[in-house]
Amino acid sequence: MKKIVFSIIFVYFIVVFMVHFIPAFGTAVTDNNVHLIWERTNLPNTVTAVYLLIRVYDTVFEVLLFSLIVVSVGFLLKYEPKSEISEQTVFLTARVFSGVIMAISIVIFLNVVLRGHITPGGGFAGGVILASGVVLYGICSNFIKALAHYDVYKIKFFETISFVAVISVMTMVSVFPDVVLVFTSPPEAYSVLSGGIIPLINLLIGFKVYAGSWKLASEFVVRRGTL
Amino acid sequence: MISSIIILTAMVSFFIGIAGLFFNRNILKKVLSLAVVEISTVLFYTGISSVNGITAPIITSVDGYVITMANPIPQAVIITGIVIGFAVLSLLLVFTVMLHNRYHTLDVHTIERIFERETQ
Repeated sequence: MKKIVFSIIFVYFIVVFMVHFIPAFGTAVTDNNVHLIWERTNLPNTVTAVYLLIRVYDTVFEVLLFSLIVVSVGFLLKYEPKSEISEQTVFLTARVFSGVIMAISIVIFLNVVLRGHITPGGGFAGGVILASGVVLYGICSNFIKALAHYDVYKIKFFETISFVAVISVMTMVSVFPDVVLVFTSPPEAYSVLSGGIIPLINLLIGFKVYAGSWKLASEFVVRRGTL
Repeated sequence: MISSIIILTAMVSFFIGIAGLFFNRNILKKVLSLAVVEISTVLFYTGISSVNGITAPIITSVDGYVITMANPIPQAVIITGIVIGFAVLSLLLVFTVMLHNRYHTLDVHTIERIFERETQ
């Protein structure tokens, strides 16, 4: 009975939405502001221009929220019992190819992050790519080794440094609108350096997102229960 | 055309997720249904941004602006939504892990019954 009532409400909403809100097929409704953003910021990828220059105050709180969630998940799971982690027995093929995919994901991370202002990409996408590569390596090859790299390479230290740097630069951009992060006369159009400081911010955000995502994923895998 | 199809698909998957939230008794399935709702919201914004056209809003040459480019502002705004959805999912999964460690079940009715018996 409940499901029937729910289905009727669903169909009602769909019909109302179709009649009133969806624009007619094939009509251009609004002006996209691509040329305005292009004139104002001079960055080819206008999505990056919006979320790193024009609406940077959104991104500040986004990075802040992400860091807060990583800290709170670590705090809440601190006293939960851990599962026993032992060496996995996996096929040699999976072991070799997970390392190869890990290397490929590092290369894609650098490409996506450093060229995020010219081509599709950016800090958040790059960080998630790198973290999924590391998680894949941990699941398919050796989870103990993947857990150890967080301490061996001092990821937490660099994560803190990149967090402070990102927050301070973004706060500067949003409080003082006269600060110019893009070179007024770029060295060469559509090169990496033409973005000014944007590739550096993308790199720091990418590293931050990678460290946080890996921390979250490893916390859950360590406490996976009877799996 | 494509925009309308995307928006309708997003609406349908949104209601599928809401139905999963209502009718599932397993907490993990409820969390996954919430994930479906969040992803369909992202899809909805993508559909709204592609009303004018589906060309990526990346200017490849100095005079490369075309009118059929997708609107970049909803795409940039929804990045915040994606991160918040990720955060909410992580916190919910943490609470699921804590509940399972305490009650050794994920069934909502069983947890409520045990909780009532404990509080009486």
